[in-house]
Amino acid sequence: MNVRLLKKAAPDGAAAAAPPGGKPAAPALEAPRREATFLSRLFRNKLAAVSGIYLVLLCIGAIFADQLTPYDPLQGNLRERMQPIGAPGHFLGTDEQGRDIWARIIFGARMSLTAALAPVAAGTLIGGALGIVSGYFGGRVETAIMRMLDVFYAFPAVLFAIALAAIIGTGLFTMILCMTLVFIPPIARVAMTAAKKVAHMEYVEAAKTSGAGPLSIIFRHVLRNVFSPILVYASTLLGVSMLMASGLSFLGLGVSPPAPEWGFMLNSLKDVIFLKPLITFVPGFFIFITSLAFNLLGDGIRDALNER
Amino acid sequence: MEKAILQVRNLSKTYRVGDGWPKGRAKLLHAVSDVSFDVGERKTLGVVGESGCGKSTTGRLIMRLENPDRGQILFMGGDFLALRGRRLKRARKEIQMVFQDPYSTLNPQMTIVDNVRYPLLVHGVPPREAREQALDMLERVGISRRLAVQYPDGLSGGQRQRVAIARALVLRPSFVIADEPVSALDKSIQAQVLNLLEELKENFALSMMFISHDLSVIEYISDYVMVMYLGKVVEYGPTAEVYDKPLHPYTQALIQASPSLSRGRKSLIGVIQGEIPSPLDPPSGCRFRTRCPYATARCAAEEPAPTPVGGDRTVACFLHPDSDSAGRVRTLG
Repeated sequence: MNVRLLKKAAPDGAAAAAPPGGKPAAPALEAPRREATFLSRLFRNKLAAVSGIYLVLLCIGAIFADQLTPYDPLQGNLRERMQPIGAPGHFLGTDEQGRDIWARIIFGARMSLTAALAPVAAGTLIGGALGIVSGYFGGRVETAIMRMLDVFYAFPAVLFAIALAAIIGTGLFTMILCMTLVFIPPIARVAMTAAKKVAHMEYVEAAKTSGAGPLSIIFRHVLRNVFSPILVYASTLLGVSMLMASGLSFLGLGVSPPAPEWGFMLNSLKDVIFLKPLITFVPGFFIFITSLAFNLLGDGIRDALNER
Repeated sequence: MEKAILQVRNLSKTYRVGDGWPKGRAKLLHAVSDVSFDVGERKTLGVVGESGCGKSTTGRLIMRLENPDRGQILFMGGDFLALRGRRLKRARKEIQMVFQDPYSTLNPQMTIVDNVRYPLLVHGVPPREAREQALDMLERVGISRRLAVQYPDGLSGGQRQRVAIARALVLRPSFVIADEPVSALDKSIQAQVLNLLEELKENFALSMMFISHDLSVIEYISDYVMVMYLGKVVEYGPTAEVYDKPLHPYTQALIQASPSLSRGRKSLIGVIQGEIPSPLDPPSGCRFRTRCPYATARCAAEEPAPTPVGGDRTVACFLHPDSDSAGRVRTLG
């Protein structure tokens, strides 16, 4: 190896003679290998891996819900109401209207997962864009955007949901809209902080001196450097989002009967909690473990991104 | 002097610092005050001075990273400050900058070659061709193809600055501003990078403005030197002459105070007394008077203007008689 270093004295003279602290010469000859190992780093974390698998299975189940149960989640057989867990034909029991609970869970997963994921996704896109623009331009742009968002920051989510429901009616869309608006300010704040740091880096100044316009600089220089902190923060919101969606549905501010959304199921089942407590726990249990899975996966994403 | 590629006249920049409104007034930081100079074609102007003297700000103003409050910048004969939009973008191809901090000058989330080819992409060069040109330039600064496809995190400071130089040159500019490009590097690496710059200046017929606080580096690389103090130009002239016979007391003190193995030193002045005044509240008259052993009452009352003293030299000090202009003879106060 030493002989090879000496022979390469001319072009890589600086590289060979003054090697970067502790780094051996061999890796300099390999192609970059950063992106491919994100997943392997992620799955080294067992909890994150299990959570990830659970969520994937849940999503698949939600998509193929009609394959997974013969029962109609919306229409019940009143003669079979309030069957306990493990009852023949209804392994998770039936609710107060005779609807099979497993059917409602698996069909309800469509709504609950959408209600949890969509606001985080939309909030990240919109909040991220607003935050990056604020952080990059600073000054009056930043002040204008941030003060505008402060208004939304101050609003409690439930109050917001009630107000929105009064204006545009209840429903899944209203709930998603409300939660998106609630998530935008904190995401924007994180994005702004990250973008500010990047905006003062010399490589951004160098890009400006090359004649690049702000749009080009933001897309090609800023974005990839703020991607990680924003994504990490957004992943922490997934668990919260799940709980918030369920909470709003429980309060009746989301979907309407007979929709099988999990939070809403808690609402309808709460009246029979003293009659058949175990059945009422089922949707709550799914809310709990799904939210937990989002949290653990989010932790795993954060660790995998930071390890690099 | 022969033809000048850059002509700067009366450049000034003042920053407002602190809260404007609680006490009703913000403080003014006089970063650059009435600076004028020329850079000749294919020449290197060294700009030297203590930290905070305004040399970096001057470079940034010329690059239009910030807007001057007053003054004129003529680049390649045209009014550089008047350019906007597409014409400014095109003009930027001719004037590029190398920055000081090797560790923030490259985008860590882009490969080395992508960092270098970005300016070409900005100016519409097709991606594949841009990549080839970038790789070619990188070879010229001593970064092999194999290294170029890596991310910058493995590079040393010296290598990073080489990449930064490649990036500055990839658009084939005529003029490069180097803002303390070697200040963050070890001495031995400084020498390598400086030699590289000398070579590139020759190969690419570059004119250069080299900013540094290190007198020996400036002596090595510059044809002309401009000494700045608290935002003002105090002396200007061909490097060898200024170093051999400095005229301004500040320049004399700087040279006296700097370690040198080869230069013969004249014991004209001792170590500079006192602390550098704040640019928020510069001394009246000559800004150096608070630390100048020759200061007189006149120095507090009037500000000396940079005055030609023959042989392409300029000094801003009442000690030096005006030998060129008609009719005005300055005497010692």
